[in-house]
Amino acid sequence: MRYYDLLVSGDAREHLTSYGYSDPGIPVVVLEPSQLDKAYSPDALVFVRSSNTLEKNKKIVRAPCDGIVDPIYPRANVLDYNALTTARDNDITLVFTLSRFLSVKGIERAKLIARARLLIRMALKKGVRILLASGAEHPFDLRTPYQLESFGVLLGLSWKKAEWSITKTPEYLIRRKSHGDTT
Amino acid sequence: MAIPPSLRERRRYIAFKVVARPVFTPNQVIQGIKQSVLQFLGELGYADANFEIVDYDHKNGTGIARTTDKKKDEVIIALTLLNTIQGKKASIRILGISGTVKKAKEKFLANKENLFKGDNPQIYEENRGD
Repeated sequence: MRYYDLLVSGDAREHLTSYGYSDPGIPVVVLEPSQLDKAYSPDALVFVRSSNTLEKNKKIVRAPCDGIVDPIYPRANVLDYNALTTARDNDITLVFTLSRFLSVKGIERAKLIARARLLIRMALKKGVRILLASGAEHPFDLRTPYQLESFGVLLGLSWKKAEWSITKTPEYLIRRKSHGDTT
Repeated sequence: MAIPPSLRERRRYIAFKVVARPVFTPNQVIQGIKQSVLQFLGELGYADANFEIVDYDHKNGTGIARTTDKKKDEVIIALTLLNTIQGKKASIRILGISGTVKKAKEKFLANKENLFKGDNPQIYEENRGD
């Protein structure tokens, strides 16, 4: 079974395979919400960072990108049922990074976890794919696949779905980008 | 007073490795881990988990933590979410879980090649500029 941690940059990339992750063999690009015009690339996986408003995120889920990163803010719901339906129809993946939760503490982290749980519950109901990643820029932010799975369980996934979110979902995205194969 | 087996809590032992620069004392590491678990679980959760660091080898940065079977997932998440000790960058890498201390040491801590498989020992030197 191959584990993937797709959103790793900087010094952490050198240590990725030694933590048990496979090399995706395909570059991953993360864009800001204002760069939606570059949201398509034939060679790279393109993820767009979530905006803090629902209206901008509705534009992101209509863009030809592969996923939306961290659509959670402690003080607002930034994705609703309609946006999730659009995301499912356009085959856009919701990406949750561990580094988003590491950067905050206390009540703010608790609110983020609550928002993420609600969003994941809605996304599972709508059938939207979910991807977990560490989002590490520094080697100290890397975590093992088991720790990422337990992070997924914290957010409301079952163990099986948490495992899929770091194995089958990245494989699907890579295969779709490389070969156009969506089976 | 002996507790009957039906009421005894099932314990789990979590083997872990601290990934950090060698600037901490053993006590700082242990207290940092406990504080992180306490902050995440709260006082009631910490009491339910009955969390304790059973063994810690500061030279290798490895240790064994004890918790209850019902709270082991939450303790693992608390250890996963640790990213600083005393304000400096650090992380905990979970090596495995076992029902006894002996098996945890044999399976996860005995083989030193596997121990450093995921950690480049040079990590301590590379990031000295941080």
